[in-house]
Amino acid sequence: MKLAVASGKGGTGKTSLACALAQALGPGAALLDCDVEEPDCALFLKPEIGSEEAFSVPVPVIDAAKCKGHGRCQEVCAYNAIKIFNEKPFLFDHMCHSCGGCVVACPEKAITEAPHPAGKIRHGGAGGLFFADGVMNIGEASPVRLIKAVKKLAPAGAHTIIDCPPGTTCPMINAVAGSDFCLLVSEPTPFGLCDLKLAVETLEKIKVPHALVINRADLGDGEMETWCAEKGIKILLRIPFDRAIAEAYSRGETLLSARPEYRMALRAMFAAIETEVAA
Amino acid sequence: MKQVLVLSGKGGTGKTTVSGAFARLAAPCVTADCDVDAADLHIILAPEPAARNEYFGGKKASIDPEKCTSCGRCLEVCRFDAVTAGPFEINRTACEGCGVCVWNCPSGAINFKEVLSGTWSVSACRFGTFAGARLEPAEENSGKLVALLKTEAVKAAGAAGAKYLILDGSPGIGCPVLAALGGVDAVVVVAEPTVSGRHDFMRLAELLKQQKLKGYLLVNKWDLNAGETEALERAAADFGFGLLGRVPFDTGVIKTLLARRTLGEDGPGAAAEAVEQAWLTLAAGLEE
Repeated sequence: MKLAVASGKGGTGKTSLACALAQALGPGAALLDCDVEEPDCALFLKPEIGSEEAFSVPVPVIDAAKCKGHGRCQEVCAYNAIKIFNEKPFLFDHMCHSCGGCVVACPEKAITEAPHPAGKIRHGGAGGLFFADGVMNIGEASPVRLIKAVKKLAPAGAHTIIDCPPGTTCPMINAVAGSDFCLLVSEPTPFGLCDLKLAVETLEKIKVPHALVINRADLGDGEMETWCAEKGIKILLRIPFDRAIAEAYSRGETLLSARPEYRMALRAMFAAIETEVAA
Repeated sequence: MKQVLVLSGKGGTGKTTVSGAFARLAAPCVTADCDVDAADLHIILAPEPAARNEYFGGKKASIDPEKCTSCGRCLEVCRFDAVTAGPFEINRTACEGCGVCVWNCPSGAINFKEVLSGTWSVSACRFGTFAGARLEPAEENSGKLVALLKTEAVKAAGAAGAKYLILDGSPGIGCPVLAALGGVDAVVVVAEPTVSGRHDFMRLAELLKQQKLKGYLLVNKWDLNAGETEALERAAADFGFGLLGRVPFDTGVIKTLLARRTLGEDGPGAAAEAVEQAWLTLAAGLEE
């Protein structure tokens, strides 16, 4: 089963829960860190990285000798990444989405593509778990392609936990897409609830079944519970605020090292999700 | 007018709480919520209702089944895995609006229309003016909406003669963050004293260095890990950041939030005082 862990709001405990879930499942399971702008799972799981590869995206290269300044490239580029000045094309790399349109459109075949470094992909093992993450280069605009590439590393047949980026737009959607189920993690505050609603709307749109874990469940109010009851969203686990968990987290330790008793609860939650997915 | 952008790298460190408090302390000012993916600042600033302007983030392709001859050219040229075969269809959320399939389709069967991706508005709030936007869930191009919102906020600040424009940013270091950076005078990074907080801080600090922007560090919940707080402050100093102090862990912050108030608005508290001190330090820094 592929289980995405997402949230809408940041900092609700996605990474912590994703890592603890993978640890609770134990050897044979996999964890993919798809929060490539801020990949933090490695800090908690401390994997041995067996392979590290550069990740690049194609960007156009214009052969000035062949270019006749028609401007067809400028015309087809939806992202304003190519502009013609004095019949010469200028490329704005950071605007390019690597769609390849200009390459196809150029009547002189003056445009080819070259790799532009956008990040790296690492994979290895952590106590019998398969681990992979993506690290986006600083200054890059879009994490989407790197997220897709990390997801391709999911080992066939293994239970896979995907740690997703916050938000409800392209990075989150691309991380969640294709998962069997999405576990949302939130906190019962007005900010948490506002973003949870957006996340649920997004998951409904992309048709991924979902349920909720409420973190720091005692620091807030009951509005989230009420809303979930009205919407029919299951709350699978409530984790009260616990300074020992927060302090362990600050040192780079997971929920399970601070409170090993959560292992059984996490396994039971995973099993319940599996049953629901199979139904 | 000085533009102050509040960022964090890691999510959930207290950006919006700090932005709300800054709005109150800088009042009358203009505040803009540049976290259009998960906008929350309106909850505590409670802007007056205003007509919402439509935001069209780009075009999306869709196939007209009547005209489609199933030649498969669209599938061949699409690099975003947005085309599925049999019958040929375009997955709306995967489509990045490049239009390559549109002009490559030999039978002109692909429509390419602007889609409503969100809304935005500018209206009065109790600390001056608030500019906010909402991106529709599962929509994209948040960077473009952030840029638009910022332009409107700068206009509003000019019209009001505001001394400060406070911008609440997104987590991460990608497109919505890059779009928020243009023209800012100071970036306040709210960070937690955790190993992941420091890791994410370093990535954001590197970005600010690339963009030659002045950064300030504010450590939130500093007492969760005093050693990590010191490590964060050392790292920030190495990047040439100004230090705005330490905010203690304080459950009073949640009570204030539940009351839909900004920090310090419903009476004194340890966190509220630390954030107020941070604002005074920042304002003094901006005067220099």
